[in-house]
Amino acid sequence: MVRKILMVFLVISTGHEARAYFDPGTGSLLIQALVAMFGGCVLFFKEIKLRIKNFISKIKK
Amino acid sequence: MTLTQGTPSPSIPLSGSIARCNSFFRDPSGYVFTEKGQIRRMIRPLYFREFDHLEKSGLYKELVDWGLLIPHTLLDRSAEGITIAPQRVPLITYPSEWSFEALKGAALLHLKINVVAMDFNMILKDATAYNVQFIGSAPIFIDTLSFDFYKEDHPWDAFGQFCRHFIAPLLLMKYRSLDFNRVLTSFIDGIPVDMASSLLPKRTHLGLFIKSNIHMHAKSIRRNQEDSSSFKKTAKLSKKGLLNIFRYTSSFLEGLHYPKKQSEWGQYYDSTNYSEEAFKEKDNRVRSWIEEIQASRIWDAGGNDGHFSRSIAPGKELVVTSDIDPVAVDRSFMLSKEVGLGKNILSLLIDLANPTPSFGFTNTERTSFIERIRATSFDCSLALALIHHLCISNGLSFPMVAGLFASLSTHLIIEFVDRRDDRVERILGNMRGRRSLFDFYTRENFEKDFSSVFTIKDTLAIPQSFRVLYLMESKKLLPTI
Repeated sequence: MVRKILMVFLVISTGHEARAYFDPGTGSLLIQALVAMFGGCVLFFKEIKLRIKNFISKIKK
Repeated sequence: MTLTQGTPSPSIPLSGSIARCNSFFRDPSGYVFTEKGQIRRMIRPLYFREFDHLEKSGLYKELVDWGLLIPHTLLDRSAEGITIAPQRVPLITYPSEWSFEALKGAALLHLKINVVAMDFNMILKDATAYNVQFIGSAPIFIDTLSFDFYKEDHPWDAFGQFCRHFIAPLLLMKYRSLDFNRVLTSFIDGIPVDMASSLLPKRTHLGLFIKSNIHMHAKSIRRNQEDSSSFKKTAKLSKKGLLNIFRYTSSFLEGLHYPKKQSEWGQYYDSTNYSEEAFKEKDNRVRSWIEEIQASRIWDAGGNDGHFSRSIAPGKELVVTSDIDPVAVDRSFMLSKEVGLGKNILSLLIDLANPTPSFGFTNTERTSFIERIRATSFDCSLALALIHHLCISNGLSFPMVAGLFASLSTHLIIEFVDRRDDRVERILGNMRGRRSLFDFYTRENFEKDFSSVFTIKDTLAIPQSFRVLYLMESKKLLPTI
């Protein structure tokens, strides 16, 4: 299941130029797409929550 | 150019009298060395482009103005290398010595720097906690060579390292033990993600952040380690996606707190057995002695929540407060930050009976706590309400404790807690049949043994207690016992 989700959000290609002086780890590079997606959703809902809160506090005033 | 050793960092002589520090050897972009005891950083030609961009793009100024990056001055530039002199931090400390909030602050610093750097088309190429130091309770990034060009659609190379150095230890401190970061001396590149995943409680699988950053991350690492073709794979991630990671992680960390249960000593000064008057008298006397001996660099060993450190700190160059209790150290860290006095107070998690050892490659990459303290040349050590813990709970003798302090500072303010004190009674009570082992623990023996290495300059019998405060001066600096 996880692999399927990753496949949707990742573009797998070749020819990666290693820039770090240590191995960044393929697993650690691949998982970031998923973390970013979760992060995007959480931040989006937080933003909505904040806007609703601000709207309510404006009405109360 | 005459270069000599004389730094808290371990170093090896290079050609002539140049001494190169053993830390920061992994990054080929440059290295650290000392010149007349001053820290210098040599930048190799392979890093010139990145260094020039850091300076010319305005990123360096932006980060220094915000207090995020250590400032430096340019000393020399040639085709062979660039030499810079970074501002010196008061005392090098390690993540195993930081409190929960300090480690969290260091993590947030990385994320803040990344968000700023991406506006200047740069990103941190590594995320080791050893790149952060503290000036008081403020974390500051010290590795000027950690900046790389941001490459479009490329994920963060240091993501795995960031999870090992910050996310994993913070979560284990929250969910398992608040002093879990002490194991970091054994894991110099952070706690492996799969280890963190197996140690965290099952309920952490329910949280989206921990699930993705630790548990799924661990699975992804395992799967790709087993897959021999994995080195061919490259993930792509947009700039927006990367910024989402930084903001999401910042938001999670800002809301991350450990359970507020009281530790053994965490509320010590709220429930102490002194009367208010006696406590005030002790406080005043400590301050007047510190002024009398004109101490400017002070180590408060066993400083609990840093009450006495904050009391004596104004106008001093450096006050280091250390304690074995992680809640007390965290409280000291946060209180120093809140009162705004704390620019010269460092709060550290240290077990005096087992302080941070030297570790890393050949045991010289990172220096022991005792070596760093000795190199700082403290004017005075404070050992308040500490001697009974060292001698009874930890089985140290008076000469061992006296030798330790005499080798590390010129003066000592120490409180002797008599056997009749109820706290000593309690500890002795726990010894049951072994109580007779501590028959040596008397005021007479204390004075006799400490007098062999110290001169007793003054005393104060603390009113309404079985405690006596001593001001002592070291007869000569001894090697550490």
